[in-house]
Amino acid sequence: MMDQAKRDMLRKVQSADFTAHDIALFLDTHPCCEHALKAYKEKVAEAKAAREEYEKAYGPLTPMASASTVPWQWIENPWTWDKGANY
Amino acid sequence: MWVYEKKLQYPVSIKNSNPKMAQYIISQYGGPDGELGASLRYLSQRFSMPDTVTKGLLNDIGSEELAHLEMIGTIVFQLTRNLSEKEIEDSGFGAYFIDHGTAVYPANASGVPFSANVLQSKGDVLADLAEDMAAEQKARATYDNILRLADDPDVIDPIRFLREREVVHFQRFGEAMRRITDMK
Repeated sequence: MMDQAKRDMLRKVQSADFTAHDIALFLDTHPCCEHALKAYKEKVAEAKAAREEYEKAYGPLTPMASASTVPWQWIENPWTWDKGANY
Repeated sequence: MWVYEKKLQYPVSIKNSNPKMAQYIISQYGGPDGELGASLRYLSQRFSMPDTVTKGLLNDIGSEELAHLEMIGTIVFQLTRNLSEKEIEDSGFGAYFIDHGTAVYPANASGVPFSANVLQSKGDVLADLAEDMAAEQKARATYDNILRLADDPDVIDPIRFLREREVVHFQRFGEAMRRITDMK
């Protein structure tokens, strides 16, 4: 079972990343939409801040974000499919 | 290239095992309208796309499909934890279990392994985008079929998310198609 604070922080990253991605698909077919581009940039900034906050508290979301000492932290459980990785 | 992120696109947290449901949902992993076929279709077709809109869209939707493949694998994995022999036999999961145990394997709901015959990469933007729009609707219909048979809210929630993405992708492919056909 994931603790509430970790879960909430992960949700913020997932939510901001997803929204940014969905706007990016819209921009792919509407490349001149200023309104969407503005919303995209705001969401990307929000996602970046949420990611940094999460990674500082709970470890890397990508191997390159690792501040690992020995042993290599990236491989630690839970992985995304593990029970308890999402709630 | 891609960089792996240690998070799902949308959370999957299934408390109760259900091998019969796993055997249905595996079709969206390796079946005819599944996420593996979707990702391979778009990521292969993108190389021969004629303009920046279609290159970008196929690249980005094809990448998202890999995240959906991971969600489906996670759903199947979580639905098949801690099964008894009796549950395996009574649920009809036995045939899959004999060949793959409780591993995640790309097959359709009746156990036939994934085949690239479910997709085409034609080198013709009209043919490819028309296939892509149909593929999104077929995947949406498969998710509707799964939702008719699912009764666990832990399963229904991520399946609804995936269904909704099919609708959004269909919309975006339609916009790309209209841009191509409206060009003078």
